[in-house]
Amino acid sequence: MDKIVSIQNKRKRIPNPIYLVVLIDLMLFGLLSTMSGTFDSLLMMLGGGKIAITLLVHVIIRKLRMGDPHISTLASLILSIGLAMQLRLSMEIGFKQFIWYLIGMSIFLLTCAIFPVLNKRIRSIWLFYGTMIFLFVLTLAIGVRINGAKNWIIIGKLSFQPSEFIKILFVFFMAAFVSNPEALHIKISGKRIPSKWTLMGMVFILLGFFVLQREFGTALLIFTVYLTVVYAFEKAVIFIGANTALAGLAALIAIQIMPHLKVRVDSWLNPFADIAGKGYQITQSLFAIGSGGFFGTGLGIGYPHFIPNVETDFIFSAICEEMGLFGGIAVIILFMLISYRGIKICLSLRDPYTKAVAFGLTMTVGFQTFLIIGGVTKLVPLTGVTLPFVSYGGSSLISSFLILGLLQVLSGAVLRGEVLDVEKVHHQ
Amino acid sequence: MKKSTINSRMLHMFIVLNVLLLCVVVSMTYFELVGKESLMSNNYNRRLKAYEDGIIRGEILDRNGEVLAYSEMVEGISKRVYPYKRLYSHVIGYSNDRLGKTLLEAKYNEMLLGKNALGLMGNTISLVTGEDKTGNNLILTIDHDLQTRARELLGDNRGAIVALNPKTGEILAMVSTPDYNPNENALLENWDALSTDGQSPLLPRAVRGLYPPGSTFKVVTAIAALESGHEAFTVDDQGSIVIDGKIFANAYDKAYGPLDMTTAMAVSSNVYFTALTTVLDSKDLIKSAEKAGINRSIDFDLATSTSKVGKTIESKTEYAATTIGQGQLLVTPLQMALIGAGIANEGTIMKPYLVKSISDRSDVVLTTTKDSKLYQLTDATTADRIKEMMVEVVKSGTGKKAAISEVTVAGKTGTAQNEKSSLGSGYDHAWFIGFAPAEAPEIAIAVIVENHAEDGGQIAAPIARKIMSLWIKELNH
Repeated sequence: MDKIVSIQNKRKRIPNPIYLVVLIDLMLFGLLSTMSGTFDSLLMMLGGGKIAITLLVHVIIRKLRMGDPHISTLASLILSIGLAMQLRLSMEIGFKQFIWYLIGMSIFLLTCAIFPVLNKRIRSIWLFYGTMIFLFVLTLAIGVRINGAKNWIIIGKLSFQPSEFIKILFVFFMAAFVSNPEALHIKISGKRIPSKWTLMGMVFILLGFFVLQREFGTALLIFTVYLTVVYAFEKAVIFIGANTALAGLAALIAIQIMPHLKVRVDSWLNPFADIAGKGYQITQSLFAIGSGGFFGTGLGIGYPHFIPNVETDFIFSAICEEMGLFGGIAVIILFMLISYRGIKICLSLRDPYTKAVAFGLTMTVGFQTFLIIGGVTKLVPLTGVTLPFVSYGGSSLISSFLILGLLQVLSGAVLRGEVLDVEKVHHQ
Repeated sequence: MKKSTINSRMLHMFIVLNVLLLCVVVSMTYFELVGKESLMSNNYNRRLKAYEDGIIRGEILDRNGEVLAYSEMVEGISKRVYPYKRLYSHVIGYSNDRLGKTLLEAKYNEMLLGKNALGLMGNTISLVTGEDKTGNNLILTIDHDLQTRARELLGDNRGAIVALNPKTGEILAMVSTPDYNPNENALLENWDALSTDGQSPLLPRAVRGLYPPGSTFKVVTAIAALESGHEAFTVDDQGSIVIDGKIFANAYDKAYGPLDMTTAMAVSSNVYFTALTTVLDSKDLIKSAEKAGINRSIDFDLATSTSKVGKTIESKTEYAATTIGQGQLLVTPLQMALIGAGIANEGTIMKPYLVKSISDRSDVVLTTTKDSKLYQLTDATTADRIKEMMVEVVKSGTGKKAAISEVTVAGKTGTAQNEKSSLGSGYDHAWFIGFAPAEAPEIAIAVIVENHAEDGGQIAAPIARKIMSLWIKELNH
C-alpha cells in the first residue's frame, strides 16, 4: 500500500513535459530576437504565438481526451528547433514557415475532427490507388521541374508537391490491403493470382512513376514502408526477398542508364572527386557539420548559408553546425521518441486497418528521417526527401501535420475503444 | 492470424528503424572525432576564409616595434599591407586570398588570427562589445635598420645575407635577392612573371638556396683536423697539388711556400687543405660537417633546405674537393652563418629564431621564445683555435676588407665554383662568413653574392663589414 502511494507521489512530482517545450521556446526565440544586437519584437511575438499554440493544442488534447498527449509535444519540440533555425537563416522564409506552421496546426486539429467520420466510410483500396495514379498523371502532365525532380504542381500562386501526399495515401492503400487482401484477387484466364503478387505489381507501377519524376527519395521511402507493412502483417519473408531483389536489380539498371541517378551515387561514394560540381552540396554539408563540433558554433555564428538548399534538404546540417553534434543527436532522439509513441499506438490498436495506418505512418516518418539525415551526413546516398517538421516547405509541413493528426486521432481511438466496435462490425 | 505476432513483427521494424538512426549518431560521432580532420582545411571550405575576413590579422613588428606588416578593414574584409614592400618578402612572406600564405604568415597563421586559446578571450569579449576581432602580434628578432642596410648592400645582385646574435640565435637580418613586392595588388599583377622568372624571385635563398660553400668550408675542415690531432700538419705550397690524377690549384695559382694551418687559412690555400686528405680520415670530416648541422634538419621558424654532404666519400678526388667546399657539398646561407656563430659561441650553435615574442591586441606578451642550443659544433678549445685563425684571415689574409677599425673581426672568405662558372657561362659565387667583435661576439654573419666577377674577399667581405660595423657601433645598444 505504502509503495503504491509513494509511486503515485513520484508521478505527481514529474512536471508536464509541455513546460519544457515552453522553456526551450522562450530561450530560442529570446535569443533570436536579440541576435542582431537590437530587440526584434516580431520574433518575440512569433515565439509567444508558438508557445500559445503549443499550450492551447495541449489543453485541447487533454480536455477532449484525444489520446496520447506526448506525441504532439514531441513534434512541438522538433518544430521549435526547426522554426528557430528557419528564422535564423532568413526572416522571410522563417516567417513563411511560421504561417505554414499555423496552417499545419489547423490541419492537425481538422484531421482529428474529420478522420473518425471518414474512417469507417472510405476504405476502398481502389480509391486510394486511383487517387495516387491521378496525382502522378497530373504531375507528369502539368508538373514543373525543380532541382532535377519533376514533382511540383503550380496553380496560380499555389504550388505543392503531390508526392508528399502520395506517401500518406500509400499508407492507406497498404492498410486497405492488409485489412482486406481479397479485394486484390484477380482471375486471369481462369487462374487465380495471389493478392500479394497483384499488390506487388501495383506497387512497382507506383515506383515506376516516381522514377519517371526522378523522385528517388520518396520512391525508396514508400518501398520501405511497403516492405515493413508486408512484413508486419503478412510475414512473407520470401516475398519480401523477391521484392528487394527485383527492386535492387531495377535500381542497378537505373543507375547505369540514368545519369541523374548515377551522379547521386558517385557523389556519395567520392564527393571530393568533383568537389566543385556534383560533390559540392554534400561536401559543404560535411564542412558545416565538422565546423560545428560537439557543441556547435552557437545560433547565428556559423555559416550555414554556404550549403546549397540549406533550408530544405540540408536543414539538419545547419542544425549540426550551429547547435553542434549534440543538437543534431537531440533531433534524432526526438524522432526516435516519436516513432516510439507511434509504435505504442500501433500495438494497442486491434483493427488491422487502423493498426496498419498507424504503423505505416510511423514508419514513414521514421524512415524519411533516416533517409535525409543519413543522406546529409554521407552515411547513405542523398535522396532529397525533407526532414519532417523541420525542412522549409508548405507541402512537407502540412503532410507532416496530417500524419501527426492521424496518429493523434488513432491514439484517441485506442482510449475510447471506438475501433473495437468497428472491428466487430467488420468481422461479422 | 495472431495479433501478438503482428505486434512482435511491428516491434522488429521499430528496432530496425531505431538501429538505423543510431547508426547515423555513431557515424556522425566518428566523423567529428576522426573523419573530419583531413577534410576541414579543404579549399572549398569557405568557412575558414569567412572567419579570416571578419578578423583583423595581427601585426608583425621588428625588435624595436617598427610595423612590418599590418591589416586594415576595407569594406568588412581584412586586407594585408606590407609597408616596406619587398624588404621582408623572404622573411614574412605574404598572406593573400588567392595565393595562400607563405613563410611566417603561414607558420604563425593561427596566432595571427587569434584562433588559439590565447587569443580567444579577447575575441569573445569583442563579440559583446561589437569591436572588430583582432589577432595576435608577432614581434620579430629582426632589426629594421640592419635589414634595410643589408638589402641596400646586396643591390641588384642575386644572393643572401643572414646575420644573427651568436649567443642567443636571434636572427638580426635576413635578406634574399631577387625579391618581390608581397602587397596584394602588386603580387597578383606580377604573379605570372614572378612564378616563371628563371632567377626564382620567389625563392627565399637564405634558407632554401643550396650552394657550394667554397673556401668558407675550410673552417669545418680545420675543426676536423684539430679534433683528429693534426694541428701541426704543414705543407710546402707550390701553387698546386695532384691528387689521384687531378690537379687542385690555389686561386690565381699563387704559391705560398711552407704553410701551417693558421697561415693556410689566412691565405686560403687549396693545396694545404686538399693535402690534409693524406692524413685526415674522410669519416672525421663528414662527422664534423654533420655536427655543424649538414645532413641534418634545422628546426627554424621558416622551412629550410637541408645542407648536404655525401654520407661516405669513396673517391679521393671527391674527398679532396670536399675539404675546400666543392664537390657534392651543398649548403644554405643560414647553415654557413650558423657555423660562424658556433665558432663565436665557444663551439655551441644556438637555435636560430625569428619570432622573439607574441603579444595580444593590448600588447600583453603572451609567449616569449627562449634561447636554446641547436648543435654542438665543437669544444671550446677547438673553437678558440679556429677563431684565432679566422681573426688572422681578416687581419692579414684574404678577408682584409672585412676589417673594422678598433674592432677585431673573425672571418673566412670563399669563392665557390658552381655549375655556371665551371661551364664558363658565369662567375663563381662570392662568400664571406664571420663574426665580431672576436673577443665578445655580438653578431655572426654569412654573405653570398651569386655569380659575381669579384671574389669573396672583394665583394662579400666589405658587405659583411658594413653590416657588422653598423650593428656593433650604432644599433646594438
